[in-house]
Amino acid sequence: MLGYATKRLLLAIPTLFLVALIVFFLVRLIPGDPAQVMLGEGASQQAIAALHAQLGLDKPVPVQFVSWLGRALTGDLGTSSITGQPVGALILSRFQVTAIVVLVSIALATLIAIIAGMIAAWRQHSQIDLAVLGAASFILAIPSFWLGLLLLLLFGVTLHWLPVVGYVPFSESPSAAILFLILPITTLTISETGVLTRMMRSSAIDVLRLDYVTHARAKGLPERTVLARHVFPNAFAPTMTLVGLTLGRCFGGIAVIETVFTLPGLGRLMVDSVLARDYPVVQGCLLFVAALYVLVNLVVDLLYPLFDPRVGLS
Amino acid sequence: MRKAILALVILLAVTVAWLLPSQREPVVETGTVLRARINADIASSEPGTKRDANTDAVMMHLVEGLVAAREDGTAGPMLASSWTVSPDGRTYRFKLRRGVRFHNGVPLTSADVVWSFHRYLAPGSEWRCKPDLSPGGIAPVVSIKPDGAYGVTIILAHAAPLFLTELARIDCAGTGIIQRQSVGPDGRWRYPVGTGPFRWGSWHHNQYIELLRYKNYRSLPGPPDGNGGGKRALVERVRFMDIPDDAAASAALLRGSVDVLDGLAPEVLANVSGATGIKFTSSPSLDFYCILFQGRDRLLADPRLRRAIALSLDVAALTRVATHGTATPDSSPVPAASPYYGAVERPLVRQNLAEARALARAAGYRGEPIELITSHSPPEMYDDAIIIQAMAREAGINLKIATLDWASQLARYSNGDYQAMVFGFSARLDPSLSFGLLAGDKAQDPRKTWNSPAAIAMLRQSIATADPKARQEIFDRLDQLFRSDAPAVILYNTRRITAMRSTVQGFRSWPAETQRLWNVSLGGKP
Repeated sequence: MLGYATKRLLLAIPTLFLVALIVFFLVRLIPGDPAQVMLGEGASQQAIAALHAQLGLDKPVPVQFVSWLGRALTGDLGTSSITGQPVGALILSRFQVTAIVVLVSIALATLIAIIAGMIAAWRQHSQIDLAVLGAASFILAIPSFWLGLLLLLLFGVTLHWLPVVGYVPFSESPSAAILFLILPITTLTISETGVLTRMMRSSAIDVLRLDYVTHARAKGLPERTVLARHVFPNAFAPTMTLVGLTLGRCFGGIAVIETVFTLPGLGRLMVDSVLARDYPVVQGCLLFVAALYVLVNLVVDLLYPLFDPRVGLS
Repeated sequence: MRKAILALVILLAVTVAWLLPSQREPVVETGTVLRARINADIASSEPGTKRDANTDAVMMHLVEGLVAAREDGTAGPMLASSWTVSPDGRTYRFKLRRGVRFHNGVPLTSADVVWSFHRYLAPGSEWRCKPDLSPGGIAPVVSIKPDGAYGVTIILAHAAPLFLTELARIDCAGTGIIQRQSVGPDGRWRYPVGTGPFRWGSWHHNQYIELLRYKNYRSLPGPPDGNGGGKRALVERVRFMDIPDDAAASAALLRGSVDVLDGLAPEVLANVSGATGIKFTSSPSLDFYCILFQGRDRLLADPRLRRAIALSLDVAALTRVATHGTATPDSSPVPAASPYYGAVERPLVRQNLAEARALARAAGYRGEPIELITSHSPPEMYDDAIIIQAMAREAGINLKIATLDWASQLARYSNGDYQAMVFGFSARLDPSLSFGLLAGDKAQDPRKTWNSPAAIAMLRQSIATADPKARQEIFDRLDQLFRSDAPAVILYNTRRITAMRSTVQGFRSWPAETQRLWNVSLGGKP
């Protein structure tokens, strides 16, 4: 297992190098100049040139790349062109917010999907199945920002149960932090439940049709045991792959939810940086998200044999 | 199964433990807090350098200059109690107010003024007004010298009646005088130590900027006037909350999570209007939105085609639809709220489709596509483009819309890389500055759309003229030439709308568009 993990991690190096290369040059292909954005519409050409020199943007792009890559290899992702903050520290501080929302939401969504998907598969073509399938399809059709705004208006503005904007770190007040995170977590949980439920249902239906399940039932095992011990592990494996992919996507991509709920997360940092052409932050964020994606999928692959003993790590 | 759950639980526990930041002191909530929305985080804490409108608004609570912009756009006293100008218009002698102290308790003296100016004008400085106060600018500064502890003498290379207006510019943070402790021993910027009614508190990136009441603030006597006049901090703390989404900001206001929602977008006005506990104030702005034309373009080099586009538009109808009736239609670069908006500037260019078609034909235009660049920053600009395209089509003019993000549009504008573009300019306090956005030598500055020697000469004349009557005449002539050359089509000046909780007392919006939270209290009935 250790050898497999090491091999996968080593394979990630060229992937990340490629990501760094593509990101660095693609970002610079987008029209727009960070100095112009920073100095505004009336800035003089001299001021823009001076800021270019200060940010190192006056050097040839390949020189900029080599210089950035050299520093990135030592763990220094540079400093934000806009705020002057170290990119590494900036990413980690924002990732803390995103990670809490994503991990809790995906865990909850997975739990709901497992229960709903298993019940729907077990009672295929029943009213429960139709209800689960309908709800999952409905959720899939709802844009997350719209759902977020609806929840915000209902629980924040109308019922006054929850705060509507802002964020308090756990270190300052755990209870306030939870209150501020309930709505974004609920929104993301609901948004992600649809696809996971559908996947869980369809794989459970496939497994329920297999001979070994019929055999287990024929042995007289209680239905609960058949479902929990024989159906669930095999049915969950494909869903787990999807959970991994969803985690990777959400770690870098809940900017919409973060914007609606004014959370200072990684997605919002990335969108703001792209709009401001803050090259070091965009590069750092994308590299970080790519590394995270690789890592999450590695963890998923390592967990796979726990659910499906037929899968080996080699 | 159990193993799997156990593994997941351990993984989650380890992650959460890592995520919980180390122990920090809890924030103690004390005193009254006035919460105002900004739609993006500030660009920096350095006055007038890396900046945008949000940054300017925050900075104007912290720093003050020798003079400040008054309600009517002229410059009035601030840290300088009075000044004299030499007969040749080159030497300004300022007398500083006594008893003013910086936020760190250090008394304001002429040495601080000289130090601040030298810092702003130093090589490598990115201060916004530096080019205007440097050789070749509107008011090139030759020297700044202390004249005793409470006097400062500034000598200019030539007479410049706009010098004080330039010093009061909000996008230059009013040339705020800062104390040396604003920078560290290594010369790196720390935070602004100014003389304003609020002092720097904390900056939680992408969350909020908090300013604290400056207890020893020495106010000017009299009523408030623009950024000057009598100013008092009436709340313990001011919190500028970064809420990017308009709908979320409206919800926050309705819920009472923010007290002031300034610069309300026209399309979200309906979200909050009529709600209990919400009141409004508004004022006309000194900004303008327009269509810029690229005079070097093969088609648009001909002023007849540019005029044809201008004549194809019903500016009043466009303004009504795109801004939900909140803005003022305008055909002059002189904004309607300016004291120089007179009989010449007032008439709108009326839609005349027959004449527009005739002019386009005379210019040799045969329906070739013309790219009209726009963006969603602000959203009205996109609506403007759609309406302009439809109206121009009526006159046989074929506009193709290209929608970009703001940074891309800004780059195309700065490089002059466009055929036509819907663009908005933020408030300028003087018509010379408004005309200066358009008129200039294209070879030196590709942003300029009006490369007319006559216009440039008149603009220079307006900058060098002090008498308001004489200036009005110059602006009138400039306006007439502008309408004939049509280097751009002016569309409207926006109206700054502010929604606030009914508990907020004393908030006033003004043509310069920045929110001012001094003299504002939270004393009203909820």
